[in-house]
Amino acid sequence: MDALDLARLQFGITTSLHFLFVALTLGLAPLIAFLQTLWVVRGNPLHERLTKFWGQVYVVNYGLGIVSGLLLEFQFALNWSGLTHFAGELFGAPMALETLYAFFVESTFLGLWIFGWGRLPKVAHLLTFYVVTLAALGSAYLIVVANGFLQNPVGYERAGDALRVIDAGAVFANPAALLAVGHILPAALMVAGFLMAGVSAWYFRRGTNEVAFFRLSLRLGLTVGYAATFLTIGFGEASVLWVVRNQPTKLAGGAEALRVAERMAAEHGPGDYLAPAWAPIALTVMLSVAYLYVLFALVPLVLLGGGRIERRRFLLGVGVWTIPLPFLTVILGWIVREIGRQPWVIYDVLPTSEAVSDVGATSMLASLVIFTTLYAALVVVGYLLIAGIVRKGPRSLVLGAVLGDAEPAGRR
Amino acid sequence: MELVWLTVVGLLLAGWYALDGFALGAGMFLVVLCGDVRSRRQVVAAVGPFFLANEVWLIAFAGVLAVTFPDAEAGLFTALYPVIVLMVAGWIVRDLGMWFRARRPEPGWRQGWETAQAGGSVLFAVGAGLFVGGAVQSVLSPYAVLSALTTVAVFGLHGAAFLALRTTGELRERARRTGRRLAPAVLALLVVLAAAAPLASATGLAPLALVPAFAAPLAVAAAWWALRRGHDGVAFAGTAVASACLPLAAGALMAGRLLDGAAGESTIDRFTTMALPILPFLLAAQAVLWWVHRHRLSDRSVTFF
Repeated sequence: MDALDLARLQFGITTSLHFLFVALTLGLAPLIAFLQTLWVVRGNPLHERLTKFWGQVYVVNYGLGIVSGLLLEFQFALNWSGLTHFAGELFGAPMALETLYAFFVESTFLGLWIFGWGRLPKVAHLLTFYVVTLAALGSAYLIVVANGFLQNPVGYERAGDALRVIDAGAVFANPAALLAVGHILPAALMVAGFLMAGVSAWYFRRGTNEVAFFRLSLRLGLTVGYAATFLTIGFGEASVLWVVRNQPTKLAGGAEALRVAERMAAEHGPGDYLAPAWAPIALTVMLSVAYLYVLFALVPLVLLGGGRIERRRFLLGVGVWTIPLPFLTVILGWIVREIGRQPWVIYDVLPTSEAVSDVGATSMLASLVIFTTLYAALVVVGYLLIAGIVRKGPRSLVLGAVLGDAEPAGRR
Repeated sequence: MELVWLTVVGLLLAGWYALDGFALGAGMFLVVLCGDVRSRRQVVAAVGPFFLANEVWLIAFAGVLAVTFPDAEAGLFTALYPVIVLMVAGWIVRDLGMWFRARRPEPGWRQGWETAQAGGSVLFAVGAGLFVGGAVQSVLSPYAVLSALTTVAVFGLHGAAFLALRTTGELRERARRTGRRLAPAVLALLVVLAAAAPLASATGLAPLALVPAFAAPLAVAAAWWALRRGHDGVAFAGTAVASACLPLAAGALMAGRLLDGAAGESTIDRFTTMALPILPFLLAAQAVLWWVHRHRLSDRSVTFF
């Protein structure tokens, strides 16, 4: 493997694992904002406990998202300095705006939220979470604007050996970005909704006396997840249509794709400009998963009334075991989007091989080994801990705990 | 306009030094408290509310640097590649320690992650010092090594001053005692670092670098005095200023090189209209966070980590 392959492998591993956490953060935030609003408006303690329980799943997941995201901001400068140099104005600017408008705001306000329980007035405390949710949406939008430019470079001109913005409006309203946001946000709601439903199913299957608590969670998760499935499919299909017209080489097949690949070879020298043959298959898998949800999630939805679903052990089991499915599918989506773009880092403008930093393969390999090890530990331990929080259930809530509470003594 | 952004980039990094610096110092302090379970928990609780809001400064620094000084950034990051890998690895370990520590009840689990946090904090501070020092001279040059040592020491003192300010009773006394012992060593390191600066800098002495280079030891001297007199707020302000001065001095020494690698005028102007308006809001949000948690730690303080 040369430095380019190593840099790509590191980018693929770290961003994919990072996005597992991002998807859940993005999808859970609106659900928690909804639960906390219910609590503030109605004053029912059940809603407070729901907010805290799902809130602590959210917070730990958010933390893992930050930790797995730290490297990403630095990775572009470390491994892809060609891109930073060539398209700093178009790619770097939305990334930098994300750090300021989204990440900085999100983290500061989440700090206020976590440590503001019982300290901030109820409404102010709720508002801090609204800001967190808005910042999460802003973050998704700005990152996808940066990625959208790589997919569909618009609003730029060449100035010497770099690109320059000539139409900022076009960059921020890039269809490659807007369609992707429309697809990713409901997909994140599917991830979070079906996780919430799956966890509730696990409790009903096992038998719980927290019936009202998990009934509401199941209802909320299933309804939101199901509704979001249609939006995910709609924007997904729209994206595919758009890709067929604008990035024909991405889906490998067809006369148009071959024609464009030939033109690229003529303009930029010989190379493999067609996406791998499995790209359309992966796309089909993604769509099939979504249609499975359209069809089969209807069953538990119908059985929600009167709590009939709570006694169907088989169905509940399916709900539990399919929790990972939306996670895996969103990663598959990113893999199709990013691998399909190759061999370009900026489609039809800058080849990936010209974006990689002038760093030796040994350094790249060392960095790959160090970070892959850390990420593996982070993902494994992180998910075990989230599972542990879920398993402990709504009886042991840590959000809002104070120093005076005894730290739970453990088994040795 | 480049000068405005040079200042903003410098202040973002200085903000990270002054804020995450005490979190790293407090992280290192966990080692000093080996075996003292209660104090360790208090240290983590003291840092807790600020933790999330501290590290964002460094991410913002990296993001803004990439747009406003892209070529300078690319040059720096490629030259200092191993240092940045080390720094980010230390950062990840420190954060994992913080996030994982309280999530299981076993004492062994907690102690393990507290140790990880302490080790990660040292590594992160060493990485930051090597980065700033290496940017002035080169990787693993004597100046970079001196800068790394000084950064660890300054952060250690800063963490002790923070704990003295935010805790009570025995832990507060202990933090003050540690701070008083550390202060003279930190002072000496800062003086040597200031003296070495003109030798290390390729472009000779930038007059502007004199201000932070001399302000840092003065601030530490003031903090030392304040720690002896029990003025915890003054001591913390002193160590915060000293921490912020480290990247400012380095930045002033290499300002010429940074400006050579600045983005084009159109980029800078466009980025100014988009990014500058949010900065006051960010500062206000941080100020609110500090206002909400201005009190010393008590039994009623919210904990999470």
